[in-house]
Amino acid sequence: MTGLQLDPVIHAPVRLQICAILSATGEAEFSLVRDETGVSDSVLSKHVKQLEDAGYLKVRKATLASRQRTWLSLTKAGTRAITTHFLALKRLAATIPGVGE
Amino acid sequence: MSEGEGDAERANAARDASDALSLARGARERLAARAVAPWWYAPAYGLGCGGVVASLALPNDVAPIAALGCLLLLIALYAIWRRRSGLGASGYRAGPTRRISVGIAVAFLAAYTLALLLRDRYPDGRGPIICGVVLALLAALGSAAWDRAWRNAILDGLP
Repeated sequence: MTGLQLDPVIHAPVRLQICAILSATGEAEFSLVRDETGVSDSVLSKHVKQLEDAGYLKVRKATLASRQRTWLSLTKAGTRAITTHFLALKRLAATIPGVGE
Repeated sequence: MSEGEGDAERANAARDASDALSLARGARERLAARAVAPWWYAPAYGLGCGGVVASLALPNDVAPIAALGCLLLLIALYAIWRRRSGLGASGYRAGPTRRISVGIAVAFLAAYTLALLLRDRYPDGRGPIICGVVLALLAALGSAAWDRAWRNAILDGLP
């Protein structure tokens, strides 16, 4: 119908929010993404791992003033996947008049 | 499956998609609200850029040290912003932000070149200082414009 498929890796609400945040910026710190998605460290770690395993997300650890910070960013494949996913969502939402506007 | 059931399923799928887009938009809106640079960022950025150019007014043995100090200020500014915001963004990311960054870079090169020429013409140093002040204003305005453009791109980035 739309020619675009929803990506099951991205579609889960927490992972969708992670990708929405990371696709708008170059990098974001783990704690920022945790606060913005409203989940615990362990829950976020699991979702991050799933996105990482799919090749959509990169994790970078940096130490500053003896404190380790974890930075997250989308890979090129991740950026492509979220763009396609958003397009698929929009087309799907537009199939029923009055929905998705 | 009857036609009525098929329609209901499609309507549910469309509503799910709409809900997912709303969720993504909400995340972007919160991010945009968080991405606001502190009030002092743009003036400090302008000061750093203008300072590099104005340092040409100083004697030759001091000018490189002053210019280096201003460059370090610019690097420190970005590092502080990253640390405070928890975000990282390239100045040359695609979209309006890239045009603004290129504009600032061109203004910087033009002001620096002009300051070099004027330094030889007016040994009292007023040439580089005037160029530095003008660049400081332009860079501060450019930095504020970049900040606004980035936040707009965050909000408009969803299809």
